[in-house]
Amino acid sequence: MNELIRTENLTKEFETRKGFTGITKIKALDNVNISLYPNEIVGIVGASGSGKSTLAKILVFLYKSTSGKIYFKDEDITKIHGKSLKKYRKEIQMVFQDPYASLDPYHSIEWHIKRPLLISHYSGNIDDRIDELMNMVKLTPPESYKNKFPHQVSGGQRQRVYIARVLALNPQILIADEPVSMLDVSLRIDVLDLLLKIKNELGIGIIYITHDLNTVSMVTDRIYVLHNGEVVEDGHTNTILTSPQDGYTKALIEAASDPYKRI
Amino acid sequence: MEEKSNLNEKNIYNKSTKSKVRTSVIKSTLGTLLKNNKSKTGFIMLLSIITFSIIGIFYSPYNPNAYLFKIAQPPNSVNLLGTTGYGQDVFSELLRGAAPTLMIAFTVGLLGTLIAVLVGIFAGFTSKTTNAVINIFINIFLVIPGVLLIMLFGTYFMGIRQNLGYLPTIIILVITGWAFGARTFRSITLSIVKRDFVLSSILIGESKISIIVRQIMRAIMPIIVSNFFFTSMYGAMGLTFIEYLGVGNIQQVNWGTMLYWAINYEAYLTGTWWWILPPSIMISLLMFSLILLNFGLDEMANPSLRVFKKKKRDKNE
Repeated sequence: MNELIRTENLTKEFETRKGFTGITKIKALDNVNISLYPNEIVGIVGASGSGKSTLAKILVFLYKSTSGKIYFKDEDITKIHGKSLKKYRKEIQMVFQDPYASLDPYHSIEWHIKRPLLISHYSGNIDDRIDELMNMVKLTPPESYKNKFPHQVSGGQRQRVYIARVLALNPQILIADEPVSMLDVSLRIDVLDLLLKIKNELGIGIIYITHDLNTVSMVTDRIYVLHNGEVVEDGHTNTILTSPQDGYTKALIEAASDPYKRI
Repeated sequence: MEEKSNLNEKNIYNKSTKSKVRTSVIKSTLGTLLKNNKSKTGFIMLLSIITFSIIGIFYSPYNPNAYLFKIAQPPNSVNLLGTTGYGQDVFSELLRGAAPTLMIAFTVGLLGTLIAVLVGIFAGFTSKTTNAVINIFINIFLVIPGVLLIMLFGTYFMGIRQNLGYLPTIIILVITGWAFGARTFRSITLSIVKRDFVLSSILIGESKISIIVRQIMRAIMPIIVSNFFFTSMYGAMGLTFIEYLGVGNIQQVNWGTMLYWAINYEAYLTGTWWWILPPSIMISLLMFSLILLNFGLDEMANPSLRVFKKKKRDKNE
């Protein structure tokens, strides 16, 4: 099976100015090679500042990479822009970390799910599709949520609304940037189950970014361990968590209480 | 039981249409505006001034331009606020002069805010270079002293002013008054554009115009309204200023020209206080009502400014 998305020596440097002339470069990503297959959840694990979110933002083209290449279904998309970028963005969507910031406080929940349907010129009945999506993310009954505003629902529900919003575009890839780190521990399991359901039922490839090894062991098939912008280890989740090779991975696992403990 | 309540909710939501939601939004905004004591006072004051000006359009006791009476009469039963040093009725002038003053204030407020919103949001939402260029442009308009521009434009329009009415005055005031608001909107837009919900809309594929109209404008609505009041204040003040300097059309009747003629006659030396005070007080009241409305809006937008009333119960205990 072919990869959905593949990066080749992806590098990102940020420039910071010091004084009038001095420019220091900070390497956020250093020759990163990752790949994602359909119907798979890949975890990207690392501490704060290891470049996880930078990688996510490069993949959805909110940042431009300094060097390296990105392939979407074996097609080089590193330098796309304009219309083809819009087309690509329909295929790859991102779930943000903070559900309290990612929904517009001035619009109803229905609006959030309706907009992507209108933009992508959905051919069927839009109202039915909204109900279908809301049922899929278990916001039932949809009628009681549609006219509510984001501040009237809980954090977990907001994250589901957001997932329904991105699923409305029928993407092939979903990037989840710490989707549960802002949520109450008791609500995390629901959102993670939802991610698994999306993978199994819709066959979407998911890149799951986190610093939390406990949740990684629950949902991911393979993981990449990022450290200072470099992939230090990659492989199947079980193999890495049981017998880590790299020193950093060992330290990371040591720090987590129990990777197999279900939250 | 649960099913029943769900059914009820369904019915309610089916009934509520979009237009209903919209009117309720306007109603709730007005409601919160009137809940606040400061903005309530300001609103009532502004409303009464507007009523005063509307009456003035259709009715005044005497012709404000005619020299019908003895000069410099103190207030009496015939002339409620006395007469001017040229023999006109002060009350008639005050009544007739209200509408143009308010008209100029609100036109300047509207146009100034419109330009400020357009330029500010555009600057905040484009590339870094365009943003920098527009920023320099805004700063130039901020730094140029308004008085100088007013004198310059005023004297330029002197010759052709007769057939243009209040247009030159409005143009001058809008040119000198939009930059402050534009800078505010630019910085607010810069901060909103980086928030997740705007990034999300970009990823979803929303067009820039859609994001600006549907999301950014909505988020900064209280500031737009507040800026409108602020610029209107500048408009009223600027009109007085222009007329006082004598670079406007001094034949027209408004509160600014009233002051101009009063000062020209040296009313403050001759002791004809009934000539100077009414327009001054009316202008101050107009300013004050706009300031109060702005205060109320501030408290609405920023809850930390709110002062909560202690309940009476606590006092008795």
